[in-house]
Amino acid sequence: MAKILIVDDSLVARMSLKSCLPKDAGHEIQEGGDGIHGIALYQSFRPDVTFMDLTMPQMDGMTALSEIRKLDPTARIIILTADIQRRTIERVTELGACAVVKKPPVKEVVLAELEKVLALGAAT
Amino acid sequence: MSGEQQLSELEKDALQEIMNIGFGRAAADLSEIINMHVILSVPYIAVLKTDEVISFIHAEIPDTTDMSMITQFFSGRFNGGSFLVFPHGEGHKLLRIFESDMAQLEAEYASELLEKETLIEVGNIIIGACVGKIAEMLGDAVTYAPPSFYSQEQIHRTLESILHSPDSFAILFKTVFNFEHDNISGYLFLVSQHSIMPWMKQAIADFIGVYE
Repeated sequence: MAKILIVDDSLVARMSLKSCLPKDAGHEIQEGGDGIHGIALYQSFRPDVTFMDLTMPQMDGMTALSEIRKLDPTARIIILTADIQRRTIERVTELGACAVVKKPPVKEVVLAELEKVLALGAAT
Repeated sequence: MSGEQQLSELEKDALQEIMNIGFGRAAADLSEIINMHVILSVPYIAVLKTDEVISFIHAEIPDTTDMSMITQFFSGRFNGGSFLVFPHGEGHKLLRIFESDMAQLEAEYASELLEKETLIEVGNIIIGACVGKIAEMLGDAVTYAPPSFYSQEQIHRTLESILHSPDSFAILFKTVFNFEHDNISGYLFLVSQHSIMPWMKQAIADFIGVYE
């Protein structure tokens, strides 16, 4: 069981990600619709893993990733994005993202990355 | 317009997400070819009267100086027209990205022809990847007519002749993209006839249904 934060402006995108997570795993999930909301939720919820979209209104995911990592350098953030350009992936990795998952999410990929990232936390 | 003619907030959200993924694919394809990072924006979806589409495009791009446009029509169950607009000389700037390849060609061809051919090629990549991915996610496959280039003086007349259809509605998709470093921006509008609405609503329902 893990605490999972999903930050994406699209309700459908959040639904699609949640559908990849096993319902019987007992994960506690909270959702935010933009980077600002995502940061606020991160501070109050303290998730084990955050799934973050990049293209969002108000504050984009790149900025939110950077801000959350400043607040908590151990934050584990998986970028879930349609922007799969090489430079984007390099940039979010430099900013501390644990992994990048391409949209639309595929269950096997999401679960594999989630497992890896949770194991990362268990090891530290 | 009745509820069946309009898109619900959830349907718009789904289309925005689908367009976001489609344009993400286009940006990735383009960035591989020209080695330039493209900054994506949140897409906009609306159902408008067809003549309002022209006003919308003009309102979005008030300064039409030195504007150029690529159009490409696509057909399938998802069908319509794509309008890729480079305002205010952005098309000229885009040529600079290809500068090293262009030097040799410039000796052989007129610069107007090179600009036209470059923009058509860029347009073809962006439109093809974006529209193709949207169609795929809606469970369709489309075919494309060859792209066409329009310079500033032809654009208004072209949009009028393609889009002017009183009492008819269109589904408008818009996204703005910026090429990093060279500060080049462009607008992509996809306009579909309202007649595809029943199919589109069903396709969106099928898309969302997988996740419910």
